[in-house]
Amino acid sequence: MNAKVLHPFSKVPQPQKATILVIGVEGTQKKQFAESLLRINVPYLLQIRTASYLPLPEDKENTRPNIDFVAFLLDMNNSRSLTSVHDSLKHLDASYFLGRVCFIVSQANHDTIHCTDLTDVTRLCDSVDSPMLSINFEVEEDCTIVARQVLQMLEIAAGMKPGVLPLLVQATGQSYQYVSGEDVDT
Amino acid sequence: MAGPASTPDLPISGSRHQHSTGIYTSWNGRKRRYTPYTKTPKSRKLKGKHLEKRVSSESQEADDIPLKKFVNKTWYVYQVTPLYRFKQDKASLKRYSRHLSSYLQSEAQKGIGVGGIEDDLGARALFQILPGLVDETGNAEGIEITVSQKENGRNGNKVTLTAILSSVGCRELTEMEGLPNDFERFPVLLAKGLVAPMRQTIVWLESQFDCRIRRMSFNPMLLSWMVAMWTGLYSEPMLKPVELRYTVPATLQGLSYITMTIQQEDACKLWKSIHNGDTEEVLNEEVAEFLQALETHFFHHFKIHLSAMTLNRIATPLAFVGKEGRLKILMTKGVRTVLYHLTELSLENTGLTA
Repeated sequence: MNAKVLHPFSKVPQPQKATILVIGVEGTQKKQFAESLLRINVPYLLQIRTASYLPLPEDKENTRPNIDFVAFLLDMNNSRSLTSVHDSLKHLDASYFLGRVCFIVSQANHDTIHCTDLTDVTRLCDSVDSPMLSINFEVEEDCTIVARQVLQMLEIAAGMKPGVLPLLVQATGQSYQYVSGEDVDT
Repeated sequence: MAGPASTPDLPISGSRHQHSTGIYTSWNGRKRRYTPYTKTPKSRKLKGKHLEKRVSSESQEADDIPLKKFVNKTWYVYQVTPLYRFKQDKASLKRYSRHLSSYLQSEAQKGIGVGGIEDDLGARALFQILPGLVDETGNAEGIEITVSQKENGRNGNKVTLTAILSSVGCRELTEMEGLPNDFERFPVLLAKGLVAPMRQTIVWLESQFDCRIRRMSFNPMLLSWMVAMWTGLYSEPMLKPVELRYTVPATLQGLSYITMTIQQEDACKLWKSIHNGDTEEVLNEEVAEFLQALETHFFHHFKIHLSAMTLNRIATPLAFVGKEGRLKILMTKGVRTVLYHLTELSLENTGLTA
């Protein structure tokens, strides 16, 4: 298998263990997000890996566990975060997009420092049919809420919810097209 | 896509099932998006139709003289919703002047004004039509409000506030939308002066004409549009350089701004190679490409990712524009272009253009 492309089933998954990979350029607050993930008590072993972009470095390939879920962190203030995510998506195997990927957008409420339209982000999410969550790093409760949602998705991806596959969740998701009457964007 | 199974199948919900549940249908056939986020238009016109007509007329020089008022002053930009029962004839303007003067004086007597009581007595306001801005039908496009006070111990009057209500290009941008009869549109207010008369004048305008006046702020997207559009406009030599100022993220101490300065001719050449010169329309992709070219060039030399930082202030030979809504126009012949663009932005913000 090509090591440059990340594959969800390239390694044997461990029971009662879930690994999430958080990807975001420098400046998007990966560490803060990881800390809010760790604050939640879970009955299984949670491993959080962070990276700035894909492909992941090859020298650590052997010690890395199987990645169950990938979360991309985007910052509306930072146009580089969006372009970097566009480039990283090419290095992710297509089976990840069946419910094992989500996009987390920060600073979506600060309209005055947006360097890109939110519709660009929603268009990206729609193109890979993945959910988008909005996080506000200044309010800790908000971090906890988003962390809980991500952990839910991670647990389903790690196979801990009997009878629920990530594909089921992704197939019943909604698109982000905001359309009003005449104005139909494709 | 599946609603709760217990609801009856009404015709309305039946038609909705054909669309995805993310669609909000509009009311009254109006072109409005009921979302909290506005979308950057795919393209903007560089100059309005009426500007092109103007260039050919000989009275260009004569028009420029009153426009000199705009130039070389730092204005705060506000956006204004339509004004109710604002008349432009002389008698009404005189009436408004008297009204505003008495309001300012009564505010001063209440002791709200900043600065000692002696300064605020004798505040006078004057409404005037700006002679330089007249649109095709002869209606004035610019109304100037001047607030002046008697200086203590001196004979002359000191101007404490200059404000200009402008609607350049408004008629053309809002062709589709009609307004109910008594409303007039002056979407842009430029104000310069002391804080107290500015605040009081705005409060008075809001209560008198039932409008809402809000500070306009320019986010990095809008600033990049302005840089791209106005760089390519004038290519005479010895013009001021094009400048982009970025704020550095707060985690870095000791460094607050990074300014990138480019010579006007080089920036112009770059823009011309990106922009399709045949049309007047500037496309979103062209703007993005222009900014990206500048940022990658900077990275190549200094290994600093400017795209990760916030664009704070731009300078073109035409104007300085800051994120907080401060504007300084540098060339008389560009005043109309700038005002046209501000009108466009103000109308977009108040939701009156598609």
